[in-house]
Amino acid sequence: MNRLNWKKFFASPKWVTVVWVLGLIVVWEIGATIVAGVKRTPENVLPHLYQIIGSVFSTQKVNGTQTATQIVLSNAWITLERAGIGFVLGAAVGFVLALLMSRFTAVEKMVFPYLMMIQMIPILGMAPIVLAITKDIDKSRIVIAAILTFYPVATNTLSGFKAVEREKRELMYSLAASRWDIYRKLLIPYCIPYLFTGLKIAAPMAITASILVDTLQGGGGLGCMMSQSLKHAMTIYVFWQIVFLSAIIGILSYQLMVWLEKLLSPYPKELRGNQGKKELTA
Amino acid sequence: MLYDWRTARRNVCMPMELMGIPKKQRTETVSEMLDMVNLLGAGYKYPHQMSGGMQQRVGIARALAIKPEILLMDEPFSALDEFTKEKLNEELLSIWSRAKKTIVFVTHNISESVFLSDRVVVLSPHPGRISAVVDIPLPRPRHLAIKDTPEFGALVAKVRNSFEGV
Repeated sequence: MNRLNWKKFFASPKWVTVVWVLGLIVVWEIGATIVAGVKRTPENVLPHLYQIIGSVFSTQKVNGTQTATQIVLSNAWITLERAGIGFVLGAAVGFVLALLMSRFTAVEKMVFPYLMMIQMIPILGMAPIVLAITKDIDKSRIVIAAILTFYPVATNTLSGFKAVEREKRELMYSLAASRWDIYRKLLIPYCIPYLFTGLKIAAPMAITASILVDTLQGGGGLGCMMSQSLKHAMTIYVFWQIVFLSAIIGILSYQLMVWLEKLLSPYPKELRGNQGKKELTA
Repeated sequence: MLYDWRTARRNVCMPMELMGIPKKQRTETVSEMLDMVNLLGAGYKYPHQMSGGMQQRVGIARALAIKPEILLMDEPFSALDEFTKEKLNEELLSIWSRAKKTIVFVTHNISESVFLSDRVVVLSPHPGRISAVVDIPLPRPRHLAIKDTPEFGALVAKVRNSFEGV
């Protein structure tokens, strides 16, 4: 590798990521070493990273039938499936609400304050109520994930509907387009990038919410295992594995949205709007 | 203004979709119109992949696709620098000669108006009234070199002088 390539590497965003991850590992390990020196049970506070990684590959059965990794993965599926259903439902409701709010100002005036109020109630307070109403932990997971999803989706999509340039609407009017055509050919395609902004915010949130709902009741799910592990019903490394797995799932869910957006709208959002007169001079 | 999520072809196609023209005919007309503005090869590009001038031409193709009787262009090149504007003026003339449509072209630029037109209608402000109509008998096809001829200069002066009374 010659000098120029090194320069390129140091200037690239990859380099920043490498430094960031290495720095995180160093800080974590320094912390773990200190904790190991002053606490009687350091793995409850901050274990070394190699201990966590070791527990992932350990074949030791921790609850009679399953290893720590098997427990985590089988419960991850329970949580993820419900979070996914809730996310899709919430996104659908959010999109339809945004459509209605853009079509009828009265609906916007009526609905919007309540949307914000629902969003202000802490999820920790809402979850037991939803559980009491549905009397089913699975349904609660779905409902809570949906509630967290629909607000960012609805607001972002609505702002997309409102951002459509006057000229683009006028073209539709000058062609005597029906209202259905205006939605189908202009407003809905236009707001897709905005919709995805909302989906990107909501996806990790839906998963976090689903994990939180797990902790309310026994019967499986990542959150349930997490609290059992913290209460020493099983090895504490189940907890640490879940911490890392949740972070990874959150990032992956975001990436999935980025990927879906590229698939559905093959043009960069930042280029729209200002591509008219100014660029013509180039 | 083009729709960013549609390719050049689908942008030209859009007005015909609204008018319920059958698909086969749409495809034919799109090719015909893009050929007219010399963009047949760029049909599958998105607006952000095209230069401003190309976008402008796709816009013209889209307007012509529904076979209008006349085309109104309201200061389309007013924000451009002189060189780009002259290039697009020439291209507009060649598109016009192929499309054989009447174009009503609004501009604040006297030399542009003389270069493009058969007839220049001078409007006075407040209230907007026709203050003069100047016929432009310059031969066609016209190229940029015509701007250096004395005839062209005389016509520009004539149009400018018709503002005097305003």
